Amino acid sequence: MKKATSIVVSLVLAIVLGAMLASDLYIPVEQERPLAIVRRFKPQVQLANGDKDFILDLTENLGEQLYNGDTLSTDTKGYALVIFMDNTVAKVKPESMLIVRGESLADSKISDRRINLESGEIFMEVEPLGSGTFEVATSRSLASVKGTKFGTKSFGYIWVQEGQVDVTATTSGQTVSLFEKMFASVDNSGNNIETGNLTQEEIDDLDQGYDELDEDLIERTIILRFKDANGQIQEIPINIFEKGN
Amino acid sequence: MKKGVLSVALILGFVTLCSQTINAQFTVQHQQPTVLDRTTTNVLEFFVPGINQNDVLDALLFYKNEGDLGYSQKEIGFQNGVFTALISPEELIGTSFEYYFQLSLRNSDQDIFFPENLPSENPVEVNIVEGNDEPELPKAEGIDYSVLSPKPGNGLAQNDAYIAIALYYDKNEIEDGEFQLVLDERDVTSLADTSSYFISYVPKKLKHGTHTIRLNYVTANEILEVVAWSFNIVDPKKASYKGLTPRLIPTGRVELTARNQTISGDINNAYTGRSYLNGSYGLFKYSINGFLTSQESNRLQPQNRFGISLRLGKWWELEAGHVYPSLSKFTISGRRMYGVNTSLHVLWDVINVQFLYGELSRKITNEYSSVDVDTVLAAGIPQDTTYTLRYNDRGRGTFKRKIIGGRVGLGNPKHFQIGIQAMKVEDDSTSIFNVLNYNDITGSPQLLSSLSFEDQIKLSQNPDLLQIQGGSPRPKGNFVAGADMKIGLANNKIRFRTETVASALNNDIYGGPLDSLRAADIGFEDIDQGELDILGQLSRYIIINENMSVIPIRFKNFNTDSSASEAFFPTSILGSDSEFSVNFPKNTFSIQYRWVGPEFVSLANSTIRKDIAGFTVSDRFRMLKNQIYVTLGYETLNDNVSNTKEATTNTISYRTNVSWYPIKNALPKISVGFRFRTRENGVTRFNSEVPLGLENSAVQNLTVEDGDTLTTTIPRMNSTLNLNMSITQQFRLLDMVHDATISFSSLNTKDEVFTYGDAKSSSVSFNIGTRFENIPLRTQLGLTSNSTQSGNGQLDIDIFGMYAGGSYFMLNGKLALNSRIAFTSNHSKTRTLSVANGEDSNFLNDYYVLSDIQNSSVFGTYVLIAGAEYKLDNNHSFLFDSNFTNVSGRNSINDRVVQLRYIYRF
Repeated sequence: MKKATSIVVSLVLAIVLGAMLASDLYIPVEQERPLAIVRRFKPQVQLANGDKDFILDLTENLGEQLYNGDTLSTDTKGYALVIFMDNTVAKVKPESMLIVRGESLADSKISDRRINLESGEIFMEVEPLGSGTFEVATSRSLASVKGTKFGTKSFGYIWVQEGQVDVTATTSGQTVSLFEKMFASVDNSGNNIETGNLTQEEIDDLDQGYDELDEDLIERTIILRFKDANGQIQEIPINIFEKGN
Repeated sequence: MKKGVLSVALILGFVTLCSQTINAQFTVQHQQPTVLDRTTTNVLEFFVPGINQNDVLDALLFYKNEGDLGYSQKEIGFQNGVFTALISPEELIGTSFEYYFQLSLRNSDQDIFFPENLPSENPVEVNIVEGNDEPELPKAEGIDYSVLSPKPGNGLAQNDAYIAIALYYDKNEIEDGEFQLVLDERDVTSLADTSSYFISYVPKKLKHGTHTIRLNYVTANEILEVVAWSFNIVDPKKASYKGLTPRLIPTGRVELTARNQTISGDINNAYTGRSYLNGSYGLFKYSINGFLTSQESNRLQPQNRFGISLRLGKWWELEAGHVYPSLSKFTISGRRMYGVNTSLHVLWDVINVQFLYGELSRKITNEYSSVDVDTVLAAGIPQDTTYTLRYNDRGRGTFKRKIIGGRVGLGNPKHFQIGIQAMKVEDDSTSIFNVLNYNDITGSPQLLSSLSFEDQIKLSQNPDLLQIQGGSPRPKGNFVAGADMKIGLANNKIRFRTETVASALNNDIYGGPLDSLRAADIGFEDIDQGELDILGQLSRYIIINENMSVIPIRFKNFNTDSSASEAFFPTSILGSDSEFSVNFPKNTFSIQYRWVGPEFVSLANSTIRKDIAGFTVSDRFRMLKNQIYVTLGYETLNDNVSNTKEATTNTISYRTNVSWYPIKNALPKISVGFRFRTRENGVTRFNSEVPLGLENSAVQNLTVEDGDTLTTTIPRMNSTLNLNMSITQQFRLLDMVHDATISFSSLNTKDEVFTYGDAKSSSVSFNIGTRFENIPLRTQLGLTSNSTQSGNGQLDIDIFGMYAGGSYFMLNGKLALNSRIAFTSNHSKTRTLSVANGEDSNFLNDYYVLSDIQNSSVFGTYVLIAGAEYKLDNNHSFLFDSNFTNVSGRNSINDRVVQLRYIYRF
């Protein structure tokens, strides 16, 4: 009996030890590849998830990695530019809080991602290629997108600059499709959706503030044209790097 | 007869080997490059101590890529005592580049070569490599990625630089390995934040400018490239200047030179003017060049040269003046002509037309001195009188030689092209006054003055009694025509090309096409008017008469009642070259077959090897990240392709070359090659008539057939081992950057069947160029040593040369002083071959012996070159050059040259 007991205990210990070892060795893909990175931010952005909770520092946290469940918050003057692994860009305005969620495969770019926008507003530039699903959820709305540029406010206001967005009212389940220069507003209860068209001026107003954190500088060429001493027209091309937007 | 031929051959060979002795004071110093880089323009320099501009008639570089039938040629410029040839990337085709240097002197009939001995057969051979660019790595398969930052080509501020790449792959489907992040060729993996599927790195203080990132996947066996891209670190407040757009006003250069020189005691002045102008207007480009010299002479081919070149995109090109056209290797390839060369490529290169017209050489009139009358007397009684018309010194002339040719190619050569080509070269027989017999001088009182009235009567009765010194120049005609085809498959990686041409040569077109009388003289009594009319019509291409090198008619049943003539196609006038090649980045394989008949002639390209047939196989592959190039080659060639000789000589060559061309400058570039060649004609050495042990010295070779002793072709059986090694190294020492090259080559020919057929030569050269970091000074030092022993004692030459020079820059680079001192010592010993037993009536027992008398020659050449260049501003420069040469020894001479140049650039 004792012998059987010692065998069982040994086995259990071996299994537990093995499981501990295996769990230590096993690193899910999610942990090896972040969902996104915080490419740029200013001046104060906070990151939290479980035990970690810190203010991003410009020298220490350039390119800070965001994993499933991470919460990003901007203060009253804070901006953040988040880039997902498929190059989808999320531009976060001040006084916003969002939680990134998602999962991906090791050998495929296809992944399912969702941003829970708890407060504030963001503007998304979602890559069009077959890179899985991308959703932006608020308490009232769920925007499901592919290959589009659109903005979302946490109180359920969505506008589309380019492409198509399907908006669902979270309570009623009502879904509408928005196209270029359209908006949708979900009421407090999450039951009804109001849609309409936007003028260019209104679009410009909504876009304001999102160029605070530009993407890389794009090389452009300008040409200076003048007459030289011999009377011939000379052209001097000058390369400049300017904002990509 | 055979004895005579052999003797002449030996003498000619000896003269060739002795060419250095004849132009004793001139030897060429040349540091061959370790490798030639296909991605840039390469420079070849030839330094000939003691030479000056006044001596130079023509300086040519003959070059070819491996497997080419003949050499292309290009003129080489002479500046500051150095001949400099520029080799453009377009001229570096295939795996190796072979070249030799030929210098023609104004006052000598004997040219100077490098290499000295049989340069066309033993040219300098250099491996071609792909340059110092980062070799392309093989692509990693099965690994997908997203570049998150920075985007390719975009700009980042210095404090915003961040590199991030997401990776996607199935671990089980790729070989075990690790990712390696390389920034500007520096491995930064250890500094990066790496996981299996995401790599990021924050570089610190990157300099403004372009930077390159490469992500590699390193396995146990190789390095694979996942992705590579570049980005810019910029100051967003600043713009970058790209340079002016193409100017509409042409750029150019005008150079005026005045030279005073004392050569061999003679003082003379020479003046030259050189100009070059080029410009463009959109796709239209043009250039004009000209060279005028006070040394222009109507006794020479043109020394004043000019040319114009027009080009419209890639569609049309026109060159006129003194141009260097290439139609094909079998016709004309870089030979200078005076005329027009134009080509058209339209409809996406589907239709390609080239046309050239002009003269290959201009007329140089004959200058006769007088008629020598030589009467043979016997007991005071005239027995025989000969009349010889003599030329003045260098008075022998040449005809104006005209050329017209063209090629039409249909189809893009990268896919499929078929073409036809034709070229006609013909001397203008009326261009010069050319005496053929007495009748031609009857109008010249000056030439008749040396003839008595009786002589004139006698010559008028038999005009052909008048002999011309060395024979009269004869006008020639030549026609070459053929077809070619090119096929490219797999993005032109697999290629096949073939070209077949036929040539016809008329050695004397005087008298025009064959007529019935002259036809009867050579046995064609039955030729009818219709056939003569055909010859008349063909004369627009080539004049066909009794002086054709090959007459396509042969006799059957000669000297019998049923003798008759029949037409046949003489294959000996054909030339053909075919090549199949596979060109992959890491491996280039080619197999080539060529067949050139003994009667194939192109008067526009004399370097084509004739009477050969055979295969050449070569394979070149790269290893170790494309830093090691290995070339393997095999060639078998035989002569006697038309079966007109008693024996066929077969030549087999094996070739290997290994070049190491590392990416890092800190490592040496090394090239090592060897070539082993055997040559034999299957004839057994046999002569029982000469004394025992001297069979290999016999003049005649014998065979015994059915009890009869017969003479045979002289046997050939020799082997040649050629070794080459060259190392180039850049290194830093004592605040100086040095570029050093050392080369060694040896040639060892062992003759198994002829006592005096061995030859050995070896040469070592060392060159070091130094740039001082703290002083505006550049220096060069070179040493060469050559040793040649040939003919088992016939000729021994030892040459040692050295030079040292430097350039010092002052006044913010406005004034540059340069100087070079060179010394060459030359020791030579020669012994002649003579024939023993030549006095008796039995010529079969003749054999060669070395003469007891040895001629020795020792001399040294000392050269001092000094000069300065002062740049007045960006447009104007004044240059002063001086050259002092002393040749010591038996014929001691002192030459000096002082030259002033003005250069205007605009």
